[in-house]
Amino acid sequence: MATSRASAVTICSICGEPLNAKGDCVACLLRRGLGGSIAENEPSASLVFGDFEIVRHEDGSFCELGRGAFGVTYLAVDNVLRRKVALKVIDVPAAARGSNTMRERFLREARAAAALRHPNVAAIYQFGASPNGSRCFYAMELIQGETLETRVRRDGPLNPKLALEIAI
Amino acid sequence: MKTLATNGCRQSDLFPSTHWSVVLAAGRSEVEPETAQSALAELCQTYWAPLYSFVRSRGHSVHDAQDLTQSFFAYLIERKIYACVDRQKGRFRSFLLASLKNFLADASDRERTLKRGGGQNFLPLHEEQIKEAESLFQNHRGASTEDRLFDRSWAEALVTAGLERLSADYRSEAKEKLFSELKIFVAGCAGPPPAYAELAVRLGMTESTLRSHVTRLRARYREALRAEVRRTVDTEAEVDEELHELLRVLTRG
Repeated sequence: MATSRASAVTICSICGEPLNAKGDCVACLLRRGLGGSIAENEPSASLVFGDFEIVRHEDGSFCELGRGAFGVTYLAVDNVLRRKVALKVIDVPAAARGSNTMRERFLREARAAAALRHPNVAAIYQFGASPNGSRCFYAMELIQGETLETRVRRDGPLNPKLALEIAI
Repeated sequence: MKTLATNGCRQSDLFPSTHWSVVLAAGRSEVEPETAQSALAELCQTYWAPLYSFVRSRGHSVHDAQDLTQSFFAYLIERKIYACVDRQKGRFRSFLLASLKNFLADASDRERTLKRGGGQNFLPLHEEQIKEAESLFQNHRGASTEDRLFDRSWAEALVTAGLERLSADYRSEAKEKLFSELKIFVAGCAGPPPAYAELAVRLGMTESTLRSHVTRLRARYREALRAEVRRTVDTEAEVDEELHELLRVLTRG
């Protein structure tokens, strides 16, 4: 069988799998059939991860801050220190819970971020996992305000001086 | 239709009459052959592209692969292959792949098919459908084995059928624009998904209303996809198994 592809593959920003010719992510579409995101599975549940509880909107949906290749980031409250945090959560598929592979990958990501100390990089507070191993999470500093993408889309490219201040 | 025999499955687990259960029932002479053939035809129409991709992976040209895929369906009906299915041996997907391999292995069947110009009369196909099938093959030809190529193509045909089912529902409610704007929340995308606040402004609704629409869309898609899977399996438990298995195949290369 041939092993090369005719054209470059575009990757899904949510799960990292290749998109099909129509621009849809078949993996995301299959996962949706199994239940999809936390917010859909447990619309009435209180979602607590260790000391952290995910904040809800008025309509009951969870306050989602963003989605990445690895998981979903929610607005959450640290119930002990009483401050808001950003809580990144990944669902570990049942088939992967025995191996720790996903947990280790996620832990490496959290450790890499925690090793950085920079005014423009969010600090990592805590890593944890749910008792049954179905979810892993880490809490990080909540940065208020708009995203860089929103800013650039609205105002166009940053001037070089500001870009350097943000990037370095 | 007569009641389906349980054959080891609890009656409550069985769907009342899905396409696949009708085909299975025909094997036990519990439904008329025409009913089973009609159910089989509908399934083969939806999953024509994965069959075609598999035939292409065996090195057949575009034209021969079309003829062979069409003739495979004729072979299923004429030889009443479906009547020999053992329910315990699995799902429609496994049955089709095993039958297709048998069909392709029989050189005389294959040659006869190509000489007579295929079996185009059995499944009416649109030009667009054939183009999409070839595109599907090209997209998955890098799969490590032909079985994997078939399963990955099947997964794609399955979610496409689920999305089309949902799209038709939104169209019937005159909400096509809403569906096309929100589809990204179920189907993923290359860039980051749009921010709810910005999209709400663009669609002229509150953020809270937009979130409700997205939640409903996801729930409806989930049901549409599971309904599509149900056409090809025998019990509710197999719906989850089938989705897990396809996801495994897809994410492991």
